[in-house]
Amino acid sequence: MFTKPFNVKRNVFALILVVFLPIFPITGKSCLVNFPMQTPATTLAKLSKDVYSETPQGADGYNFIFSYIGVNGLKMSVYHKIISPYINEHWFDNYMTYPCYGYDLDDYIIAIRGTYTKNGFLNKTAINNLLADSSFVTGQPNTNFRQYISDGVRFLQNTTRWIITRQLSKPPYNYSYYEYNYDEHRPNQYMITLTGHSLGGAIADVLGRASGMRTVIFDAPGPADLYQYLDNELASIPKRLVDFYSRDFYSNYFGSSYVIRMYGDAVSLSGTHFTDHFNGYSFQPYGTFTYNPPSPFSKALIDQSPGKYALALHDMNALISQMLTNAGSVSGVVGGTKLVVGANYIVPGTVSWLKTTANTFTTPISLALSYLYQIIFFDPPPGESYEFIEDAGSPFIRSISLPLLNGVAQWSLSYLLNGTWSDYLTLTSMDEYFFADGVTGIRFIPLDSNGNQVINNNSFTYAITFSNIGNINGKLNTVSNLMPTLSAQITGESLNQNMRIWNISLSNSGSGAAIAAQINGLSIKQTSGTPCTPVKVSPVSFPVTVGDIVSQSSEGIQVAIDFTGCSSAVEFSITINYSSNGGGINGSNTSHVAPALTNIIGDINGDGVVDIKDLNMLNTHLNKPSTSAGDPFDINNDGVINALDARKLTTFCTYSRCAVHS
Amino acid sequence: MKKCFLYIMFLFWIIDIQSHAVVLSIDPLSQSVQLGSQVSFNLNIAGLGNGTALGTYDINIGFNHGMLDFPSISFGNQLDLYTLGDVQIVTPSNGTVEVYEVSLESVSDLNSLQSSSFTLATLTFQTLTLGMNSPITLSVNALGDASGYPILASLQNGSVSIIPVPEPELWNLMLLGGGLVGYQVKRKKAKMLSAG
Repeated sequence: MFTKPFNVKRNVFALILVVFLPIFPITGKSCLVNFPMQTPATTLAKLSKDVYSETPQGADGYNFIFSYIGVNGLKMSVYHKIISPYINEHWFDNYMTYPCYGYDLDDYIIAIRGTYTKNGFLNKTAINNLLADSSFVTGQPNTNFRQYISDGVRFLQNTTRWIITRQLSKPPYNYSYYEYNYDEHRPNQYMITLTGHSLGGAIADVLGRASGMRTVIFDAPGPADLYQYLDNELASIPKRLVDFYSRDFYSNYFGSSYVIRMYGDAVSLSGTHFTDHFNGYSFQPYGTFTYNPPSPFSKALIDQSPGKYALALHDMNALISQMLTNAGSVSGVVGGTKLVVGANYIVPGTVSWLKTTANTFTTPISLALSYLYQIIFFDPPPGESYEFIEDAGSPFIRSISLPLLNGVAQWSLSYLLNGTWSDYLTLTSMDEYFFADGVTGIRFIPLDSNGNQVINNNSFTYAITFSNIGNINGKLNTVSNLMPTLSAQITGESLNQNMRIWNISLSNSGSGAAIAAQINGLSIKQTSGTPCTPVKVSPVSFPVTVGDIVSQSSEGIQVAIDFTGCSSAVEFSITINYSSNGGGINGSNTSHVAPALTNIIGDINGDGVVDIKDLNMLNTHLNKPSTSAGDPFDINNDGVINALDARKLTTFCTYSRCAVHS
Repeated sequence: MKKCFLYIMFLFWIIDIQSHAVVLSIDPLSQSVQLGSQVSFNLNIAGLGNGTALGTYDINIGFNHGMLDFPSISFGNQLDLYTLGDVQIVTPSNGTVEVYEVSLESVSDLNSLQSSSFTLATLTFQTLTLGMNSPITLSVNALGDASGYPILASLQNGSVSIIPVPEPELWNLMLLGGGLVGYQVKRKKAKMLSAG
């Protein structure tokens, strides 16, 4: 009846315990195993984030060991921590205290990187990797996804081989009387957990399912539908021992799978999770938990426009924060809009995706039933400014929501309504702007929080909805000529030499708005004549804000210069420095001012010329005394303004017969 | 002897000044019109030339606004030599009309092409009531040459008499009287012929 040889020593000890324990009950502490049942989910989340880093740091005492990176971008990192539950602990009975001898637990975490993005928002590569290439919707793994799995299997083989070799090299198990272990040469226990975020989570889920390793994944799409097609790729995956005597400590958690996600995350709603297939009587622990969204998001806000925040809520930092603060979670997959992928696979009311090639849509959604209120994500390529113009007959654009990119807090937005481009308006990132009916094009420029233009070199996605039903065709362009083109000039001046007022105009001849334009400086350099020193009266310092200048318009400021002491023969060169869009646009213009630094006799209106307009102004003051010495109407300085002044003025006219020249 | 010479030279100078004096005048100086008809005056200038041309003038013309009403004016063309236009402003008020004109021609053109005497403007009045020798006065706000320097000018005012329109009976008596006078003259001539 015993499969093992009878051991007198062990059984005598057992008999002693059975006989004497009721008489001398142990009142002390025993060496209970208090290993954590699982690696904390927050730690796994941190490591799932850490694997994105190019300089991994580990987390919560888990050290980074090494990484694999496949040719198509799959990255798998191994983290390790020794868990020693008996350190500084003792057990004791009625007679004495004994040190706790036990075995450490080597906890290995294999984290798989998801879609790599530097700016925190899903970019073009990210979306392609995550959705278009992995085909979670179609349920048919494509070449890319198969490659990811093959790489993952190979990496897992190497990793488990390394782990086992490492474990075997450790000292043998420290045998103790008081624990019922049958294998005296058992190496230290270890635990392996697969984890990952997003696409990395989905790959981890497949590998975990095939190997029997525990998996905890975050905001990951469900790969369950793909699993049945991956036999070839998974054929050589290292299988975990599942018998009760396994050296793997938590063998009873074979194939356990947890999905942790954020409320509103669209990615984790796509595909089918393994947990969806389990039932309440399953042997394996499983579960899906949805954390409440962080501020400023809310469930109500997300439910109102689920597609709008779908990708923003995919951020790993936000999820970790919510987990650490116990923001609350519910069991199951709730909240958000399912992300549906595919050129001909559109479901009304869901988020869809269009691939672009050479900035032109190659896959118009011809089979869509309706685009009403349907959010479609486009992915502009890198560039300074962006433009999307629909072909004739496409549904009108109903709204737009632009992303919160790294360094981009708001956007300058113009729209094409009934054939006319609007003035630029400012749209805060992630806000949804609703258009009037008839909008068929949009242009937008990324800005920072101060309204300055950001030269964005990263691809990104943005969302638009449509107000009516129809096929969408159009062109998505990156346009550099949406930038403003500025020039500065002195457009007018008044007469007084001791307080010459110059109107300085900044003109924007470009197609884009000049944001927060300013005059940075005005330098006056004498080029001829007896030296004199003009004084800037106002403004006394620069820069001076001019403001936003829409396309094909001008804005200006006035400056006052005191030229007292400068003769009429003096000439100056005036250089005006300007900038806009946070320094993205800057330049200078130089003009020559001469010889009219002294008053132009007869130029009553100060436009730099003497003409009939000045004469007409004088005629309204006929036969009145001059108001002061140097009265511009009193041309002959005789103290009275009369016909003699008028005739004298005509002798100073710039053009024949005092004609007006534009 | 020397004093005598200076005196003679002074007289020549005075004579010279007077011969080149600029005169602003109403033309005709005096006229009589019947009530109800219009009466026109020319505003003339004379004595220009020798390097002096008129560049501008601003003159008030006074009149008895009980007798006359100012309805219209027409300007001459000597300040607008090429008829390309100049600045002309007329400001009528009770008993006065201010006439102002500024030439846009060049100084050299005015000096070389402008006549020495010409009509600045012709003013036409409507007669309102009877009156005898009602003055038409001139006063100068400014009178300037081509360069805008002032010109001194003597002024010659005018006058107008507004007489009644003759009645038809009076015309008949006049015709009768005229006939009788003619008859007497004719008879006197016949007598003289028969006597001779």
